[in-house]
Amino acid sequence: MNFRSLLAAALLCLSPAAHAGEEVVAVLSSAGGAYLEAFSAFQASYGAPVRYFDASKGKTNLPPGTKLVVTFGTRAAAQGYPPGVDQIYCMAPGFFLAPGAHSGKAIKISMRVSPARMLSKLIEIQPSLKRLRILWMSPAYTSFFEAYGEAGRALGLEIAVVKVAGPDQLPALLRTAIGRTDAIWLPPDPLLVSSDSLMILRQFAWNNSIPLYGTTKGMSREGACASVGVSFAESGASAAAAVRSLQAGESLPKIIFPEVTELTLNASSAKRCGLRFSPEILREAAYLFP
Amino acid sequence: MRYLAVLALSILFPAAAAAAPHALTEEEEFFSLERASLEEVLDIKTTVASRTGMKLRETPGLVTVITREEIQASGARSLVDVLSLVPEFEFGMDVQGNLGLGVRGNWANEGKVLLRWDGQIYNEILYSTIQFDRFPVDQIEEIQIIKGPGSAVYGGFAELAVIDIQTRTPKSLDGSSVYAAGGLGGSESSYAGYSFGKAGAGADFSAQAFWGASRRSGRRYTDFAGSSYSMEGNSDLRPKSLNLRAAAHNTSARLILDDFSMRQRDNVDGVVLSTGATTVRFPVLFAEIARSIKLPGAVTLEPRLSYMRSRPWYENDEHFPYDKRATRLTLGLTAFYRPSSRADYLAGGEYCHDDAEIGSLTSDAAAAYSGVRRDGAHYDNHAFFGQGAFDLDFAKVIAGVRYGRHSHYGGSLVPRVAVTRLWNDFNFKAIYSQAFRAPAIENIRLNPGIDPEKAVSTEFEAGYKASDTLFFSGNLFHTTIKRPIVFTVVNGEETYLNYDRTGTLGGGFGVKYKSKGLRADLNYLYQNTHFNRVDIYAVPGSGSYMLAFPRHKLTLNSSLPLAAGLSLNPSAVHVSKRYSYGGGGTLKVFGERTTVNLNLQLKGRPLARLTLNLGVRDIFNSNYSYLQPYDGGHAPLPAPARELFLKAVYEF
Repeated sequence: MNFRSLLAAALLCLSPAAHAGEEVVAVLSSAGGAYLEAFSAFQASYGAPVRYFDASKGKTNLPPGTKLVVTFGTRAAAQGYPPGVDQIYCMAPGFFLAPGAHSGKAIKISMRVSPARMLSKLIEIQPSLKRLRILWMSPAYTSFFEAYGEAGRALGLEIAVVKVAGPDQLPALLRTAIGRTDAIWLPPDPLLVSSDSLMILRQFAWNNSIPLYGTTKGMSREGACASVGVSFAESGASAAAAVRSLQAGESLPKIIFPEVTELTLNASSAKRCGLRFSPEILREAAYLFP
Repeated sequence: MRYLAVLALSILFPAAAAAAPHALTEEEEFFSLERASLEEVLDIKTTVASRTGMKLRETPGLVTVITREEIQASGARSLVDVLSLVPEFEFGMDVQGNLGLGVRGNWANEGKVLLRWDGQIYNEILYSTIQFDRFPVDQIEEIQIIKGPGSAVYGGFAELAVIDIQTRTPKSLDGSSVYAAGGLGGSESSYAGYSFGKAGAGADFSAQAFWGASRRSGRRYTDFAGSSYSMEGNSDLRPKSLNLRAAAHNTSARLILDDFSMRQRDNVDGVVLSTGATTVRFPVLFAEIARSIKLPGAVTLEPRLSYMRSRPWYENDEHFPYDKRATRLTLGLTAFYRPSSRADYLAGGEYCHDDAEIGSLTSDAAAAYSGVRRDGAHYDNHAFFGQGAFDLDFAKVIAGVRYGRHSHYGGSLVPRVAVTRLWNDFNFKAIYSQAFRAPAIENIRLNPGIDPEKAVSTEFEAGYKASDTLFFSGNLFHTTIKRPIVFTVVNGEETYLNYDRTGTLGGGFGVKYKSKGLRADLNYLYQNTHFNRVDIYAVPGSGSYMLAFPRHKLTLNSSLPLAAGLSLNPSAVHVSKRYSYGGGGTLKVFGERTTVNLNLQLKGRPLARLTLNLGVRDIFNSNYSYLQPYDGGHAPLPAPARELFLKAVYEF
């Protein structure tokens, strides 16, 4: 057990409100890294101590009286929880709880921003953008790209959604995009996002001056011209807001797109792709990679 | 000495080289964990590129990967149990109770198979043999086997195969694991171990301790003269080891203390010792420090400094007193360069210094080096290697070469070329490679004029991914070994000679099925030889057979889920008839044998993080024996009989 979790546990034990029925608990796919970062932001935003469990140690047995579980990561989200327990799940890109698989409420905090906001931001970054190609691989994304098509039409954008059967198919698929697209967007698809895939995409983007856009800071660092997404901390904070809303009896949509977005830019990638960032975009960016 | 200073500086003081840490970022780790979770939840497989960008189906070799999950589910007691399920491998009897490995029907005992355990070479450097009974299977995370020559990258022990074993990483341990096992009947295998590992904040640490006690068999051994003894109490196998690893940022250090002893009464020539059993020991120490340095321009350097100290075949008795200390100091530097997704390169150099010191109890006959008694031996070896992989539109081409120069027997150059192609759900591989077996210290002592032997191998593989759950593969191979180094006795004197040639050809197929908890892995190999010129390997009157090895081998390893956390895991090995010598120079046929094992595994019950295994090895008591793959006068050594085996593993 590392120092941070030990401290959290100590605080939990000392706080008089700590175990107030333990109505809310959290389950992390792994007690470290990005999951812990998001949980820490959740804890800070929620304002009351919440006990967390580590799903990598095995199936979680929720304490008696738990009414709501907040899960961080796919492993934690997919575990299955007792009937009637509501579930808010975040940090699980490419995973969606099947309808009927969960008898309580199931609310997903997306790692993407809403389609309309994302596409508007891309147009702001690249005013000449008319045709956008979206690459994806996780099966669960199938039904969600319709929303991108609709949002794109409203903004005068032609959206092409391309399913990738495997990362090894990327080079061939990208070659077909030459002359047919103005930019490529990569959602936070764990089956597709890897350092090798990003290298292939970056090389293609640079060689053909077709900007690559992503959803996370890491994608910008690895060569995407820009990324419009949700930080790990914001995922946690949005989950906390959702918990408060549910506890207040409010009705929530099945998928929540966080309002606070994170914009990151890569200057050298943009230069290679012939992009010029406006002063407004530069001011708005949380990170600018050289 | 200068090499040592430069390498030590580059490992310990990264300012000497433009260092930029390349630990996995938090985000990379997040996506990696999410990918694994999603694959598990959705029951799909995606190929994740290896370190040099090559996927298993594109790797320039016929590769078998055995995972921890498969090893644990099979109920394997030892590495011998695990490797017996590889159709290209078959164990044979060497001397003094030690088993050696045959690869595709070729006797590969001395220096023809490389075994690495956490990067440390476990071939002892006096005779280049491996002691397969010493390894704790419960520490294993993954085994990668290259079933073919690997000298172009791995050097002079990798003539016919490479067995690369990784133990559990600190991250995968993430705490403690304690395990204990016991067997009734058969090998009466019992062992216990404790592993601890932790990773975080750019550093990690692990410690793995192991102790074991088993026997080769409880059956009776009878030599060619008719003398016999019960192997119960006379064939004890005693491994124990401590494996420590520490790493911070990009520097890692490892220390392994390992001691293994074998008790036996069949001695060197197979004749039962009248005075009782004797013990042979193989203590060894490994120490290594390595670093990964990322330079600008997609270049990564990996300098490495290793030290090994051993006392192999140590025997203190009146039969074969033997005490030689062998040490090896290795300095290595490997560079990786990946300028784009379509090309990557690796190149490197290695310097080894070997020393052999003679202990006082070694007999005079075993002590002479270079014509001067009891002087010991010292050798140096320089090696340079390089490999390039190019992703062309029609295929991926990998070309590599290694040049080594030994202070005694001179230089060896071995090239390797492979073409691999993925085409929708099909994959194809064609590989041509040369490899060599470096003469060991004792080979040179007994024949200073010995030359390295060289293998030339051609391999083909085709695979078809019928679905996400079903995969088929087939392969063909042709291996010729020129000037094989063979132990023999000339005018009553032991020596090693270079013979004309030997080798085998054949093919195999495999079917893999995996869906949710159900798994089945079926493999078959056929091999024969028409060009063996080593008479002591041959079967008189059956020119296409090699002594001790079957023409056909079929293996099955499977897992059937019965209930939540409960699975039944059958495995089986079938070998066709084998030949070996009986008493008086007569040839004997050993009929086909089928060994069937069953293991029941229960995970998470009655305690979370507890795994229980209850298994029966060799359910039908196949009466299997290890045969000697050369005409060496050793009678077949009985393998263990049926055994009831229980194991518990608890993680916390």
